[in-house]
Amino acid sequence: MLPVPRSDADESAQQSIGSAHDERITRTARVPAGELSTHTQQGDSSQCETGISLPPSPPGYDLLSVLGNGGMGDVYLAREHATERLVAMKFLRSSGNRSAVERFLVEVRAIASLKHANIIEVLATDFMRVNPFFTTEQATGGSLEKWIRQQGLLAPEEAARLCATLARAVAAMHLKGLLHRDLKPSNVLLFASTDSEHAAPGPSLGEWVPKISDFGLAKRTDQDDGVTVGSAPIGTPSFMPPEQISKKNGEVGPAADVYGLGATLYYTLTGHPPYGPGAPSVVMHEVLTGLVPAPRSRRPELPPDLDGIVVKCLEKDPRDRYATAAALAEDLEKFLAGKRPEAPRHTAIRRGKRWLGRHRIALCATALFLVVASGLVGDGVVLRRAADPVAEIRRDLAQGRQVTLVAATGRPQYSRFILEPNTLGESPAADGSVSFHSFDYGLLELCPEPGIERYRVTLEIRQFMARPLAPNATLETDFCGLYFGFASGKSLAGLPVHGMYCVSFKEYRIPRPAGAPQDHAASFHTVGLTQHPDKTISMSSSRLKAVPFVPQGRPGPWRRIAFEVSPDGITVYWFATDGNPQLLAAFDAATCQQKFADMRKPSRLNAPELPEWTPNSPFGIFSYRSHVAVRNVYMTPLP
Amino acid sequence: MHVSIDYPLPDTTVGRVFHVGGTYDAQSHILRGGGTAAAAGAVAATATTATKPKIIEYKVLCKLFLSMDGPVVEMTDSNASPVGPWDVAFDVDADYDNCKITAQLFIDDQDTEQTDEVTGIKIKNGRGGTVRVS
Repeated sequence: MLPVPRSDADESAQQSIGSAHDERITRTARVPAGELSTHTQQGDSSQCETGISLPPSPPGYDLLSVLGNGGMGDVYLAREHATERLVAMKFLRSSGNRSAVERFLVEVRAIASLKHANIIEVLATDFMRVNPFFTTEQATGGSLEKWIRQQGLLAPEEAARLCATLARAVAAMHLKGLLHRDLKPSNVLLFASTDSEHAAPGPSLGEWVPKISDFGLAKRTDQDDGVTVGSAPIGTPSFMPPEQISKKNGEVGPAADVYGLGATLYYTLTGHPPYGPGAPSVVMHEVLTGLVPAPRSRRPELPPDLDGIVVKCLEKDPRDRYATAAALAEDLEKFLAGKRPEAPRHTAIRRGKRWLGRHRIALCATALFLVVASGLVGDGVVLRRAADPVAEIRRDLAQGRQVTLVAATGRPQYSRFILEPNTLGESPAADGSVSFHSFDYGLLELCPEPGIERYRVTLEIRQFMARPLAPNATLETDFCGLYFGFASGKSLAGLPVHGMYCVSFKEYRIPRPAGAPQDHAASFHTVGLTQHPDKTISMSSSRLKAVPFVPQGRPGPWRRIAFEVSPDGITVYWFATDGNPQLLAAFDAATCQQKFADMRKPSRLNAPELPEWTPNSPFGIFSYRSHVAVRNVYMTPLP
Repeated sequence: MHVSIDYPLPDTTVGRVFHVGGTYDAQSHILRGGGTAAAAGAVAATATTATKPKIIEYKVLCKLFLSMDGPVVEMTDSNASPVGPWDVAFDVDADYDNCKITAQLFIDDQDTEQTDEVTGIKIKNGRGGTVRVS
């Protein structure tokens, strides 16, 4: 198993949002039943990590601890007197709210109507009391989300097998006329299989039985509960399909659950939800307008066929997804049998064009609605974004027009963090430029493959600060800069590796060590980054060229860098403090290829599968333990 | 975590006696409790227990390739700090063109796979300034 990428910020993207009649759902982090900590399993009911005190135990039960807080109710671990078994007990929180009681009834009836080995089972109900509750089996294995976080990413076959099992359960649910509408890894609970009752299941996922839980958003297909009419959308933004955000994007039907299954499969393969992290409104905007990064872009060794299946599940138009969960299960089973699945292999441009052609107007309208509704107009940045910024950037470049990737103020037209989940904020200088802080290697992609092969990029980048220095510190090791020619592959050891050209520099705060040059330099490197299973990233660099420059302390001045790339080679300029450009490097095509190919050697990345250098590759800025700002980034096509 | 060669810069000329140095930073390895014995020792050393702290050695192995296919001279700089400067001196007996210098960071003799290299170094008798940027 591979490690799960660190994503502290993911939690905000998985916040649930609620309908108007249930205010407590809004922006409440949902902790699934089954998230049972060790001490609560031992019956220590005096401690509740969530800080919620235990209500009086209902007759016949002892409440032991809080398991989590759902959108409508609170979930507790309880011991049933008669059987002495542990159960999960869910109480309705807003018991005085008639519609909440009705929703709660929908949930319990939905579960009770289903009898399936991979759907959680209701054990008991009590709706005759002031605070209605029902009990379900207690998941000893916790949730799938927790499993992935602790045990690492699933192997492609293991993930496909799991998702096929879940898809069969969802298909059975659909046959009963029920939609789940909140399928995600934290709503898949793991139970010890019957065979392993007398021995604790091991670390293999195959020894556990996955069951779908949390039917709080379940809906009968023959009834309209007005979920997206006259109220805010409900669901988990990073796992919900476009039609669940706005009916302009289609009706919520079985394809919505296919999307949830695809998003769950995406998470088990990459450790990320398809969109996010970010505030719910921002993630919903991405769901509506952004192209989902293909799983292989996050984990290059994934089989293209499985990549295609995931992407088909996550199509924005429900008509482009699998028609049924059963069809998804069949395609996954074909993949597992070594046959070619129905899903075409992923090509982002074809997919983006097809969907844009159908939905440009609705998309813009919905995006505008969301921006206004979420109060993001204040900073005036989101409105300037194109409906599909990548498509627009590529179109303008293809037509020979200069593209402003980042203006003097405001957010980039497009951006994506690579390696280190992060967020963009306003620069500490309060000049309207954007900045971010990296705790390790932070890469911010500003343009994916531009679609052209001859272009010039100019930009301004500024290093503000790094981590605080100790009083007696003698040196600092942070740096920042830009990268281009980004390519991903894997090493002989099977680890993900990324190769790129970089221009780096740093602004010193403290005197250089004795004997070191007092002038440092802006340098041009090839850089290879290897992602290790223990989550560390190692860097293998080759300093190819350098120019001296005068450090300015912190915060540094805006540093201006320019580069030109084409199939003929690379030219890089560093602009000195006086504004005059200094040639940093000029390589012909053969040298470009040779320097890049050096990274594949055993003495460097040891990555024979790293692709060749090509001008049509992503570009961005990077930061190592620094805070950097960026502005005035222009990409100009060259003849 | 990284190691860098800050001097000499690529495509520069140095004298026959010259210094190579830069910085290294292994702190993120410790913070993350990464999968090496060294990291485990580092965590133990910061814990408030009676366990005797383990002394971790951070070492930069610097190799000078006298011309791209020429003989290799190795020097190491060992330290007890997870972050710091490193510096080694080379003393060669002839002039060479197109040398390559590599640096590799080790923690308790385990290769961290952090490397840096500079190329295009020219060694010429009479050139002073062991770390000059030309």
